[in-house]
Amino acid sequence: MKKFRSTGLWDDAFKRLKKDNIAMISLFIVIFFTFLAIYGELVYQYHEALDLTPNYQKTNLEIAYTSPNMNHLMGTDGLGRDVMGRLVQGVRIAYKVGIITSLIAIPIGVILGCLAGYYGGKIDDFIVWFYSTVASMPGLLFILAIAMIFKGQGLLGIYLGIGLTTWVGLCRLIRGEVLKHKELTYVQSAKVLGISSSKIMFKHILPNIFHIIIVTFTLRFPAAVGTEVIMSYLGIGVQNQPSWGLMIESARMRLWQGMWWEMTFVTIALFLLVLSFNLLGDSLRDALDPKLKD
Amino acid sequence: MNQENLLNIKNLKVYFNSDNNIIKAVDDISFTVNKGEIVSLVGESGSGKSISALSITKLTPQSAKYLNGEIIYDNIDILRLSDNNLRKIRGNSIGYIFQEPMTSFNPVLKIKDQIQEAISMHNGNKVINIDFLLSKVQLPSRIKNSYPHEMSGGQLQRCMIAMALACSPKLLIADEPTTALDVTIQKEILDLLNSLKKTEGLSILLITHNFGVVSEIADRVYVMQNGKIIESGNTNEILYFPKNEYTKKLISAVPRM
Repeated sequence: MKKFRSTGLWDDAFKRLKKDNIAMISLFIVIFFTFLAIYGELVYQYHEALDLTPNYQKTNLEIAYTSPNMNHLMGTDGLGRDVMGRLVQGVRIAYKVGIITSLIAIPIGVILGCLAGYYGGKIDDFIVWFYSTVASMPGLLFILAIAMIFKGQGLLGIYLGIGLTTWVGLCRLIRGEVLKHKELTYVQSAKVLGISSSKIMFKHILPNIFHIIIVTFTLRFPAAVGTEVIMSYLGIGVQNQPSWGLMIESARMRLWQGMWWEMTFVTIALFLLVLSFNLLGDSLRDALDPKLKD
Repeated sequence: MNQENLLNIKNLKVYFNSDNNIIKAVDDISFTVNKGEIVSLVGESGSGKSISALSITKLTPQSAKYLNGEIIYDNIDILRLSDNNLRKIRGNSIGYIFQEPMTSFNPVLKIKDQIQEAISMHNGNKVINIDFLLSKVQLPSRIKNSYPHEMSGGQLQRCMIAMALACSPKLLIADEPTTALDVTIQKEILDLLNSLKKTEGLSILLITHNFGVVSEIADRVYVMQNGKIIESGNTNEILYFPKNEYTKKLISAVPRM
């Protein structure tokens, strides 16, 4: 990342972002969630290392379904576990899913998109055929099928299921941009210097379209979190760890009896995370586009 | 002057296949560039002069077909070279300058990184002083830390020339190098090219539509129309005794004070 910071483009982008109030609020919420996720991971690793049962996993049926109070700010669930502790762990799972699926999907999309756009011809035909085939399969069913193969191996099924199916949109975008950029004069002048194709693709064109990757990441992240919640809700996602999907699923049972707190707080957290990531992504798209510079 | 041929193009034809007809972009042209000489290709837009220039290192769009002819550069037959060998010639012994200096640089890289890349492409780790290169094109060395958008068109065109000179090429192909610049800067760039010809012993193939530019620096002129060379000769001959109607029109199109 050091390289990118030194370009000056990024300082400019941040200056523009600062003027955008909604973007700044979203950024603070995202940062807040990021710290929660790191905190959650630390708590998890601490208890894992010492082989302890963390508080959010301790069942205590005597205090099941207590409404929010001073000891449990967000109340407790049906097994008497602290909702707030579980919510924070949910952030951890959500971040893991969002980041790891992006690490799988973004490189696939970027590399295939660059190759297709730059070389054209048969390579392009093949890659377009390939992603059209992937895109033609119903998304959620495809994810569920992959996740079922890796059932019982923790989060691996979710990572692969979401990661291997969601690169198509980015691949299309990158292909289109590379098609456009390879005709521009700066690429031509790199060619006349005898610079190799791979260097032109990844050193010259890619930094110019990097904003697309960042924006895609901020838009993909909440989508992946949402998918994880749906999968966990359906029972083929996370097991034995507090995920938002599982919490919503268990809260559903007693909602009609007035046990509103678990459902409410999880939904608010999910809503805030998804909304702020989406708004931030929108503003970043404008702030980072090198063409809007002047 | 040394009359040895550096570049010799014989009967070159470059055609494009469009949907149902063939476009003859370059139609059977022959010309030579001698060592230490500035040769100008003159013609209106679409006369095939840029395609001729790009075809010298086979940089024409993929759809171009080389039907006929030979391009002999420094005793090498360019059209028979593999892509890898072509890349060794591009930038290394043939340098290019383009019309639009403002868009010819990668907007996210600093000037020094782009020049450095041009150098290390062909010379491995050989250290070439960027300050010295910039001083050759009369730019202060602080400019190397700038981004392209922070510089003016004239400065960028000088950087472009510095980049093209980085590997000390023998032939410099300048495709409308002054068209995007204003008149005073044009004059400076042309003077620079002329002095480089003398100090570096550079051959220059200058592509332009402007006889004003030709009269300024070219030794010999080829006039192109519709992919064909219709007149050629020494600059003064052509300027004062043009035979072809088209050449006369081009000459009369130059604005005079």
